[in-house]
Amino acid sequence: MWELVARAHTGYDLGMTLVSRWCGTNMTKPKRKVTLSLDSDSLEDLRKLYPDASLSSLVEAAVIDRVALARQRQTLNSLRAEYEAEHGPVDEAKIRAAMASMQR
Amino acid sequence: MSYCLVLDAEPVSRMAHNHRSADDVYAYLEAATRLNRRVYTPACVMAELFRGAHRQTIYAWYAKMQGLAEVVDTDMFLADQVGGVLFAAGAGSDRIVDAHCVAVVNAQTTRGMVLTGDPDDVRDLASNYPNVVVAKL
Repeated sequence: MWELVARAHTGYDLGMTLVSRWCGTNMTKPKRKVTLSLDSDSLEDLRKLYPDASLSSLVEAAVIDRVALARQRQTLNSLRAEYEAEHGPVDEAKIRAAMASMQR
Repeated sequence: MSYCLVLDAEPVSRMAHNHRSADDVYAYLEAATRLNRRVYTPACVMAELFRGAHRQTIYAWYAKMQGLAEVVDTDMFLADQVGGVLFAAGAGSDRIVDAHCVAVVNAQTTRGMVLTGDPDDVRDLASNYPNVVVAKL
């Protein structure tokens, strides 16, 4: 892992470092075996992009991300509704401008 | 490639105090969520907010923001990244909170935006990291 950290420090291979961190943080959690069907092209791309990572760690990282994003949406909806009830709606033009600045 | 939004102290403070001006923060949060980008805030930023007189307000907000923004603890990995950010900019430890925001982008994703009330300070630290964009509130 420290080799990867060192590479991250110089700006290389940040994606791989990320996978390495995910693997490390989830190693102590109980695991369940599941069977998955994945698109073969996507699977091949994944193997090429992350040749040293296990498929389980990559799938787990994607699942963690998806769950976190769903929670993020839920919490944001509730907080935004609270804010808007008091101050009025958040301007859609501001949201679109923020999206544009993030996609630059 | 993954992207994220990192909140500095100002956006968290505006939301915690339910300021009218928090609409800009909600706009960025809504944008990030629509674009499937995770939101983070370094624990170090929370430390900066906890030092004030509004400690209880920040605590209450912290309980509510669970799920919206992941608070990132400073482990050895992140500490190494923060040290790297400060060193690369020739900055001192007085800028450690801003350095955490830049480092969290590198630690959590491959690209990201730091939303801050002090863009110049953060931009200076992020100048060596083309993967980090700084947005002013």
